[in-house]
Amino acid sequence: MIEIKHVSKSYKKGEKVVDNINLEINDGEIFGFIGLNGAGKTTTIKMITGILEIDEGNIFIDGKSIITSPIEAKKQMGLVPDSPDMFLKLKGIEYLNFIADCYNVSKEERIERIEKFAKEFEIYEDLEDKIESYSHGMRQKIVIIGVLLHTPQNWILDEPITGLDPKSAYDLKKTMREYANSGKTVFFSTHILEIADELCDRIGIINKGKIIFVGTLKELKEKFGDKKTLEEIFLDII
Amino acid sequence: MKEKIKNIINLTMVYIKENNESLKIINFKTRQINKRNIIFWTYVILLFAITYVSYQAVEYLKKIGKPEIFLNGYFLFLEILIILKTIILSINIFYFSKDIENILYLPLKPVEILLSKFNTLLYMNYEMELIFGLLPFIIYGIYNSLSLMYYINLILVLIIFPIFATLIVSIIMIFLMKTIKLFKNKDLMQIIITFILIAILMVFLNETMQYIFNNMSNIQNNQQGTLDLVNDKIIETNKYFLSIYPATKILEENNFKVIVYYFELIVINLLGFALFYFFGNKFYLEQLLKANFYFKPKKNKKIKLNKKVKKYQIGKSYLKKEIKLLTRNPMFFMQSIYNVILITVVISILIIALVPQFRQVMQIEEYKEQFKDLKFDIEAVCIIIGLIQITTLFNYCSITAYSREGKYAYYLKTLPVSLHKQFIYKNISQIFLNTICAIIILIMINLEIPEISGEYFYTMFIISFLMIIINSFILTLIDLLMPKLEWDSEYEILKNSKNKLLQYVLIVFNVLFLNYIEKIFEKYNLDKSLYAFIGILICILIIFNILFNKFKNKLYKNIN
Repeated sequence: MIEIKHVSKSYKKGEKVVDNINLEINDGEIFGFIGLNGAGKTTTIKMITGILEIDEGNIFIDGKSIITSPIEAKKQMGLVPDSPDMFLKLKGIEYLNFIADCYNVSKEERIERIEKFAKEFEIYEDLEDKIESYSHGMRQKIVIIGVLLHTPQNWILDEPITGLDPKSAYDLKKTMREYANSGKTVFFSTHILEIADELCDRIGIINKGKIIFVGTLKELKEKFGDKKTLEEIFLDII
Repeated sequence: MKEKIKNIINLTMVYIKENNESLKIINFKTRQINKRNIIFWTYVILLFAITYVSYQAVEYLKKIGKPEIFLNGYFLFLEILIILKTIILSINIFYFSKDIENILYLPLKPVEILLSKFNTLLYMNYEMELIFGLLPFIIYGIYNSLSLMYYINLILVLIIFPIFATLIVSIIMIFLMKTIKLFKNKDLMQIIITFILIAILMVFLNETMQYIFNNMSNIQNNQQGTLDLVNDKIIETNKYFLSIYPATKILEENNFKVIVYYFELIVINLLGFALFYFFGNKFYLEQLLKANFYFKPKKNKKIKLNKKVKKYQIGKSYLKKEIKLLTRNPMFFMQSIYNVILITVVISILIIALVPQFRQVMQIEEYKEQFKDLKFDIEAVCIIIGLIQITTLFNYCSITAYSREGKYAYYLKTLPVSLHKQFIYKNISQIFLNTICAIIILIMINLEIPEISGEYFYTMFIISFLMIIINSFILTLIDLLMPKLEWDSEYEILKNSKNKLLQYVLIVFNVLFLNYIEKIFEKYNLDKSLYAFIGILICILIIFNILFNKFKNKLYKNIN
């Protein structure tokens, strides 16, 4: 469960990029965080994951504050960044070992999960290659496997579908649904409305740093016009 | 032909402009010097330092009537700098720079790309010459009251001088690229070729030094004679470098006869250029394509997870990751590990070569009196530790600790590993390498000066080790506060880096600190002084760690 309470952030004095936002993302749901480029999505994700300091408010991950108990809070989550060009000189298997060591995953669990997910994502035979030789989609997959290795209670993804081929995008969406069905939280940002429409249990719309809507897609349509498409509603309210 | 020259000039201008803009010394919009730029001020300080040292050297040599030693010696120094810089840069510029993919599809001939790249390399050498070469020679001219002709010749010589060395290194590199077929692993390729080129230079310099020192073993009993001998040997060495001798002669003779030496220089350069053009034309495109577009055939690999999956403690795992990122990346390897190996070897050679010479000088009746009070005291300790500090000057592990991770360095902050612990792990590579370097230097000194009691070596090791840790912490902190995370090629991290310059400032500060320590403790018992010194360093280390832990979130705020 992720609780965001009265959180604000500004990079320049007097210019809040995130302005007093409140969100509660429950276990077992997929929550889509929607907004235009520069709306404050990535800044919010960076605050949730402890990358950015919070100016005001607090964020709790399964009841652990990211400010006062950062290590405990971080153990409860895993992040897939928007463009995963990290640790390029490591081999896929070395990267997974490193991440598993960070989260203290046992050897038996590692073997079982690496085998399962690497085969599922069709990169099992590439694990001995350096990440730099991977395509964008493969890099995304290895980072996703890295997160799933320690089965965090909260899975956070920043623009996860961008750059993926249709097959990989389908596999990822399927995994996200399965993950949420197992009682875990999936929080992801996107600006592609179709994905939100297809995948999310609830959505939050952020515009100029402020949350302007939180609820289900049904509630959104009821509130802003039943006959309009999601795209039309979105463009109306921002 | 006209079209070809136009293409070469255009491409060269693009590369040069890119290089200048990354320096940010000149604001190209306002066409003014950016006085807030730390690189600008470091260059100013460097120019002052070089001017001062050159002035001292020229004044001394003039006083003893041997001013020409400066010309011979300084040209040799400049040539070695040019060769080293070309070795480090050439393979990256010619074969592995990121721009190659973007220019290969343009309607340019390979030789046009090759010559533009060569011009860029040459331009970078001119930049270096401007800092290290111009002022010392001007000072020489002023101090020896030379005519206007000298300054005209100086400008012409400095323009022609770096061409030959740059050509030769580039030709050797083309040959090595042709000979060593390691395109499957281009990282390894870069490391090996740079290693071979530097090894060739080191062997050559070592042989030359041995030759000079062997001839000096029959040391003469007067300073004048010794200097004559040194000058003769430098001239002999210069002749091996082909372009130094005529360049020196032009500035030395300063009359119309110098046309012969100009002719010699031009012929050497033309021959070098012809060879470069010939081999470049023949091999460059083929090598360039292999280096940039090698596709590894896919094999069905059956990975044995039982063997490949290993569980380690987080500290060990983090360190393994750091070492892999350092060693598998040619630029990081050369900028950190390779530098340390090289400088340790050079310092060791110097200790082995110079200490026996110094002992011989001490035996000469004339000098015996001067050295009779020589003893091992706090001053000697500070000199040895200062020497170790200088050898660590070129280790860039810590100063690039976070920058190496690139724009995804922020991912480290999402890991459930304390930021303080990650900071410590980031320091281990530099501490380890510098400690090895310190041990080797102390062993060398112990072997050459057995008079120093063994227990002092342990104490000196502890002091050096503590200083290495403190230095590494400070350098990593600098990188943490001012990381360079936005880069396309690894070379950019250190290219014109402000942090790198701060590393040099730190070493100067360390030397001043050692000087201060020496002044404080010079009247006290050596053992007690050393223990007090260790105590001071431990206190600094503890305070640093307490403060870091307290402010870690604030310190990490630029990694985002």
